Amino acid sequence: MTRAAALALAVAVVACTRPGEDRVARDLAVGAATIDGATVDVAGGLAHVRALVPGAVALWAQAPVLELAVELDAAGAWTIEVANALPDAELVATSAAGESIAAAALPAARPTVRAWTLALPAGVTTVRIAPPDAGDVTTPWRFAVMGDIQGAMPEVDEVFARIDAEPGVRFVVSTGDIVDRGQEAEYELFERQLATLDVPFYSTIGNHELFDDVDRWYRRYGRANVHFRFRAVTFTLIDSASATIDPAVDRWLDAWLAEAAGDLHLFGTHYPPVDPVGVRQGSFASRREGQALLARLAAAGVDLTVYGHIHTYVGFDNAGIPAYISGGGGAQPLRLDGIGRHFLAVDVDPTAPRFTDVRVVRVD
Amino acid sequence: MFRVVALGVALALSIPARARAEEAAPVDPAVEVTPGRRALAITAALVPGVIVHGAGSWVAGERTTARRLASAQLAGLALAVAGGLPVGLSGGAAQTMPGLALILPGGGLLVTTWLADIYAAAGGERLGGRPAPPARLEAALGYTFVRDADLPIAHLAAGEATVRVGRAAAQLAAWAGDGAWRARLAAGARLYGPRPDAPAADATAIDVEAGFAHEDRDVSSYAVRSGELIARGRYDLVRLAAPLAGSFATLGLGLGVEQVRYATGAADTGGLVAGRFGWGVYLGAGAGEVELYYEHRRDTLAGGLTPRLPFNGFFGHVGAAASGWRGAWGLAAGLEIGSAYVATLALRWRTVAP
Repeated sequence: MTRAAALALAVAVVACTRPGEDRVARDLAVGAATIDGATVDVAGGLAHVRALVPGAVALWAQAPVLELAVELDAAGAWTIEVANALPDAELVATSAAGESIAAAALPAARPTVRAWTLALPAGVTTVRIAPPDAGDVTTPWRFAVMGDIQGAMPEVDEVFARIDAEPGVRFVVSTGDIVDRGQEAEYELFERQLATLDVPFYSTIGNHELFDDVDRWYRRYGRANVHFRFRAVTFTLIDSASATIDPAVDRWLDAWLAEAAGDLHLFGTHYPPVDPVGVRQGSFASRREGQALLARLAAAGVDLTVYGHIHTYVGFDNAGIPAYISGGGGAQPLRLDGIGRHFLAVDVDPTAPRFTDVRVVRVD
Repeated sequence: MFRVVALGVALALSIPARARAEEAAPVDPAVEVTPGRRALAITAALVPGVIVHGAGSWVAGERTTARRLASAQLAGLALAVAGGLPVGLSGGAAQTMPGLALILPGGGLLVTTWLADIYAAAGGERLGGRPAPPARLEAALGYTFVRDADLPIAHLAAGEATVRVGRAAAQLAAWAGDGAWRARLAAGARLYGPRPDAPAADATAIDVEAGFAHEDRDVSSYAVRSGELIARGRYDLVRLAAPLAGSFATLGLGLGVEQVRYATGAADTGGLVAGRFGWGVYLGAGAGEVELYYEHRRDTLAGGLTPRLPFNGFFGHVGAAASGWRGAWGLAAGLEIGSAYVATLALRWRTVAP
């Protein structure tokens, strides 16, 4: 009976053709918070407001550069804390009158937590949090890509240690499946493990984040669809956790693709649109949708695609775009492929502009 | 036991059994199938029948049928485990994908034996359904509605024509609409089973088919060409047990290759898997049939299901198809549920033997 009920429920759930629709609404709510006398609005929803109390706001960053508007009814001393920040991030605050507001950096427990105290005037203050090299489009730089930690969470600090040892990595881009069952304890452990990583970790979600209350993700990290630009590279991380992209997200993607035209552009999502091992079908639920997506990415000139879900490393081309599956975060590994835990180190030459190298870094 | 193995082998390897319908499974004379017992049998077929296939037949007094269904279920489980274990343990390594040739027939046995037990428990054979003989010519013209949240395809005109000469068959099928069209030409042979020039008492059959398809998706700026080889089997379940008369099981297995050509000039080539199993009943004396099925492929309009399971990401879609005939003319309707809904309605025509 349980099996029959589960089957009926599964069919009912999957029969919905927009399984990610609710997450679109959740995404739209990210980055905005209000209390009596104070409102915070993060541009693009690129940071989640974890806490907003009189005199203090705490954010979780999902991008290296943040711009936020803080509107106060009354002037006062405020603390702005950003977790998952670049270690060298700086804060610049400007009042509505165009005056600079001095900010004093506070000591923080670890490199990826940055905090400042500043005296904010009444009205709207624009705050920009960015590293000094945010505008540097002449110097080569590097980021890492990884995915699929799941049940290997207790040992993922070993992967993070290897990323820390890799010179020049500015941040990690993740394709999701961080947790295994979506339990609160897993998220708590993840944050303890993340404390060992010296650079920020920007991620979309995978199907495992959906195994339980997905609000656990939203309460901690914010958007599942993330789009930002850093040092001549556009990063677009799209929520395909339901093996499809919601039509509303498709519309965002169209706008983001148009906005990034001519840029060096990385597209990342959890499911490969089309599994390079075709008979396996570890891909979007509809191969047609996957192919249509690839056609759009190719037409928009996307330069690099990264995926997870399949716990291996594969380098291939899709629609003429270099593609990498990197599910080496430690989740039950795919056997017979000769590779275990790993991540990708991606080198960028912003002057070319091109991704000059995508290298597999083995952890095991 | 022979018939159980025959069903398993027929579904797994598409080799039909040679059991004869007249070797009917004995009915327990001590069990009178009153309306109350029939209701009890149907209930038993559901619970605990969902776990122990044959429970409904057992309660209805069809002990031999029950044993054969349970044995076939176990055979299906063994096939599914034999094929699925390497896939699961390897995390889906490409080298283990041939296991699909065991998983799909195994899954077919697991599902069809349950449905067959419900049918037997309900006394389905009393419907007296019999298959229609194959026609030399068949044609269909219809409308297909697609509800796909992600793709701009909704209204399609669809048609197909089939010709059978002796063991050979050829089919042309096509649809068009909303900025896309697809045509598929297939040629095949009937290795076993009734033919227009050699009708048989039942519709148990084995077919092999080679198909080539071209699909132009102007609306999405790319085109797809594919070629595939598919073996299909149909097994009239009366061969397994008399109370299953009027019902059938189907299985299809195949492989293919597709090439996607994008507007940018880039092209991708990839593999396709075609795997399908179903269970159905005949309506009247050759007046049509209804079938429930699972189709593993995700490259069709319906795409695939995405249940929230640990091995999420590999399922195809489910569907139901029905056809009804009055002489040379008939109607067909179908519904498929995957990542999209696909509903079809078609007018059909066939040649009728004098």
